[in-house]
Amino acid sequence: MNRQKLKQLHCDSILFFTITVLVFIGLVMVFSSSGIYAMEKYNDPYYFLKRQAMWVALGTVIMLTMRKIDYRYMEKYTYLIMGTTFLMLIAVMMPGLGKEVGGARRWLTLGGLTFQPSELAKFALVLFIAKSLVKRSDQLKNFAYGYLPKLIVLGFFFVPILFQPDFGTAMIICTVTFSMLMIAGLRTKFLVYSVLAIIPFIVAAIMGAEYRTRRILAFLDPWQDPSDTGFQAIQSFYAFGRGGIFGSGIGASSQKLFYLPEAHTDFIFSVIGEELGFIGTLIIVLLFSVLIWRGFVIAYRAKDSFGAHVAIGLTLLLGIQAFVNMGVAVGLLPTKGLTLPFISMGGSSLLVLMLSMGVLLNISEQPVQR
Amino acid sequence: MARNKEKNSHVNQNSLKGRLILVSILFALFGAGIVGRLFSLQVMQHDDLVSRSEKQHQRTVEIHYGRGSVFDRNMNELATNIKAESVYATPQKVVDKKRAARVLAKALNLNHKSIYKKLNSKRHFVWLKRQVLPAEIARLRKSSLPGINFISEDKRFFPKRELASGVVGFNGVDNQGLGGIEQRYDSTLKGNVVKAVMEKDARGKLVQFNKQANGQVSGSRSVVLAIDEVIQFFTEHHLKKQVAKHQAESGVAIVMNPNTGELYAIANVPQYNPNNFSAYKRNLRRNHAVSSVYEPGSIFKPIVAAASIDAGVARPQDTFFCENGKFKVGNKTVGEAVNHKYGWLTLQDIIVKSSNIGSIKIARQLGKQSYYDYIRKFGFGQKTGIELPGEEGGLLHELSAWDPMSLASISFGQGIGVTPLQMTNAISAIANGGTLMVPRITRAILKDGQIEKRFEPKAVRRVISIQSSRQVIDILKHVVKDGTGKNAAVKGYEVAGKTGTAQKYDAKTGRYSKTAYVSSFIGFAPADAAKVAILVMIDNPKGVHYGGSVAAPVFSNIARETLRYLNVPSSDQRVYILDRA
Repeated sequence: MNRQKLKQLHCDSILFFTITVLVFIGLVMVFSSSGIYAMEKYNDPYYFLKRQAMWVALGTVIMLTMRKIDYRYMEKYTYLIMGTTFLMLIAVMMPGLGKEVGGARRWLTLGGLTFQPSELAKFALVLFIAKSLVKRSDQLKNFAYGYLPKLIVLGFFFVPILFQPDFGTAMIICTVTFSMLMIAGLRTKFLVYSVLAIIPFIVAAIMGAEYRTRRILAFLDPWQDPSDTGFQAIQSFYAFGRGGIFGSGIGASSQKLFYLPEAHTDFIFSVIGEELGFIGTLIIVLLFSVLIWRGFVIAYRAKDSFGAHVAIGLTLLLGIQAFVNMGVAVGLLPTKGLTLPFISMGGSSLLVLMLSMGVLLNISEQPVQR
Repeated sequence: MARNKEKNSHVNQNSLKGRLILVSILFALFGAGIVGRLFSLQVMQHDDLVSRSEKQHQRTVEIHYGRGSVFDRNMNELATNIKAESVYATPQKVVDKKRAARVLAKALNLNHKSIYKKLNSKRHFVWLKRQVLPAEIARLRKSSLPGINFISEDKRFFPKRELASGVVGFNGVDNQGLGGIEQRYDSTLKGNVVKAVMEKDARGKLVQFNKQANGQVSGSRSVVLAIDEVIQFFTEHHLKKQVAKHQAESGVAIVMNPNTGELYAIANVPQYNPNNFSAYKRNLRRNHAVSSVYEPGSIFKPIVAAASIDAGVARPQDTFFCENGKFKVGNKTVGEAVNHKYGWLTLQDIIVKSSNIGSIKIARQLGKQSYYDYIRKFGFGQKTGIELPGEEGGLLHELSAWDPMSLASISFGQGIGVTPLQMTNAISAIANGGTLMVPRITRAILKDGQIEKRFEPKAVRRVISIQSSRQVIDILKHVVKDGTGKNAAVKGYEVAGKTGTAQKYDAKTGRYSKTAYVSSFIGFAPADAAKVAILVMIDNPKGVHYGGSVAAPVFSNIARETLRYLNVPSSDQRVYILDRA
């Protein structure tokens, strides 16, 4: 990266540096965790690395481009972005356009490439909430004008994603939306009632899908049935345990071979734990903490409230997803299909993240002088 | 711009800051939780989790070594072990799965598709073929496919093939006994179980067996049978020949030492080869001698004779009126075989000529209760307790369930079900002077070649007196001398016995068949000092069906060879010795 240019633009260099480190670690770990699997499946150990590197290159271009585009343009195009995203979410349901993998329809195929609209939906929703908060800033205490429209739009994203099914992402967008509203100073009463209203649906969703129930039960006591439901959790614990303080070295994980499911996506943090040890996992936690810290600092210093809300939303999006993913890996939360931002294999996720980071960097470059 | 500034003023910077700090604290708390959990897993539980995870990288496979042998009474091996090779795969290590599957399918003579499927399995270990002879895989070894390995195992081997297979039984691929002695004495014969630990290195690539014990097997127990492989051989030989000659469905023959209850031979035809047991239908692996129940027919008549003589209600020379061949019992008419019409017959002649009506008369004179008691005392309607799996107890209705026809029909062997072994054991009791013995298939159990347990002859009870047995033996001698059993005679020995031609009960029509019979002969020799008791039963012979024609010659052949083999002096030999003197 061109450090010379960085200084000239006065962007948040700590943020930029952290992102760079995380993306780099991601590339290394994707290769380490997928090499043997890729060799087995595609007869090419670099299969996933090559694709991920391509995404990183594309993502970097997007990030650097977005950094140069004034974020306020996005306020104008919010509805367009939101509408497009919603159409894509609907298109996923269409046979021929949507691609089904393992019983879930989350992917859109466009000329050989697959894209996951729910990733973009997270970004679009943050834009909308931010715009709506600015627009109705004087009616925040009003339920019908200040709160309900946001709730309805959230519902429009939430329902299709829940039925893909992508329970993890659905939960993330809810959490991020409510957190944004809370930080914006919405009446706490509304939020509490909303959460109370949602609880029955969540319980129904968990009880309705047997695998979710099993995941919850397995989370409560993974050792109960180590061969079946608690398998993922236990294999993840083994991976961390085997890593010890210093780790077994990059590429040396044995858990990733055949025991750890989704080693290069959902459970990449466990592979880091085994190969880089406690030191490695601690660094990852710290890096994400730095991202959250910088994100909030940028939000606080933002030039206008749209920028502030967008910065808060994007930071929450990234922070919550990262912490939930790590929480699942160490057994603090039940298993969900969520990736670790920047590090897990996955093009759509990385592109949208880089896009978000570009926006965040742009916001950071236009601080209010106080 | 101005618009923005104006709006910005609405955001209360202080309260925003407060809420951001609140959210940051929540993040920090959760982050601390993650770090704490990481510390616990990676630092505190490190050793424990390492050892636990290692365990799942290993898999133990039980390999059985040194199963004990099964010997005949002269220590000839009937079941033993041979070294065999088992082929297994470590699917992840197999490089060219298509080629490997092709080579393996050809070398092991297995289905290509199923092998290919196994090679693509996610498991670390799959058996491809168990217990192959080393020669079969010599070429496969040379081709040294990566990921294909071998381990030597003990394979059960029956060197005498079909010989006595109904008694010895057969084994599954893990050497577990599935029939006969192998099943009955499974826990005794079971040798060492070696837990072979399959290990792989950290990369999950290398797989090898780590044998803890090898070759040297101690504490192995063997079973010595009462069976004599020579007697067994010609028993099977003659039975097989006759079954083939008469195109019969099956045949059973039992040779027993009537004095000790030891079984010299149990033959079942058709036979099966226990080395390849799965190629035979289940029914073929059945040991009919203990597991099948037959209506005995006329070979059951000696029982009624023995009972009434012993009870003192009749003597051999007492006469009974045989109704000139037609006798109404209840609403049924009983006739004689081949429409014989007998008038007055002595008890002896009733047996010698095998009169049904005469038998009814004897049984009536004896009475229901007494007859039933004798039948029980001879061991019918209950298991003999022989140490073979699948023994049946036969079918004898409780006295209270007897209908008016029961006493009559049972007197000539209908309406009662017996196993060939029960029948042989009962006739042995007559032959040995009146004592029912426990039939025995095993002589001893050896541990490391030394006798650990010896099975001694055991009497169940005295059934009839010696005097009664003498009289019955005399009657049975006449059967062979000048009755229906002439074909059972053996040159140089006096034979006592009884023929039987039982109509087969047809379950479909609910009647006795007019075309299907079980032809049998039961007897012993030498009559006055019996060394062997023999039963021959031939099921559904075509053409001639009389026991005297079909079964008696087999009896004669088996008895002749057995007596000679056992060096029982014949009357010819006695003459020869006298000449010398």
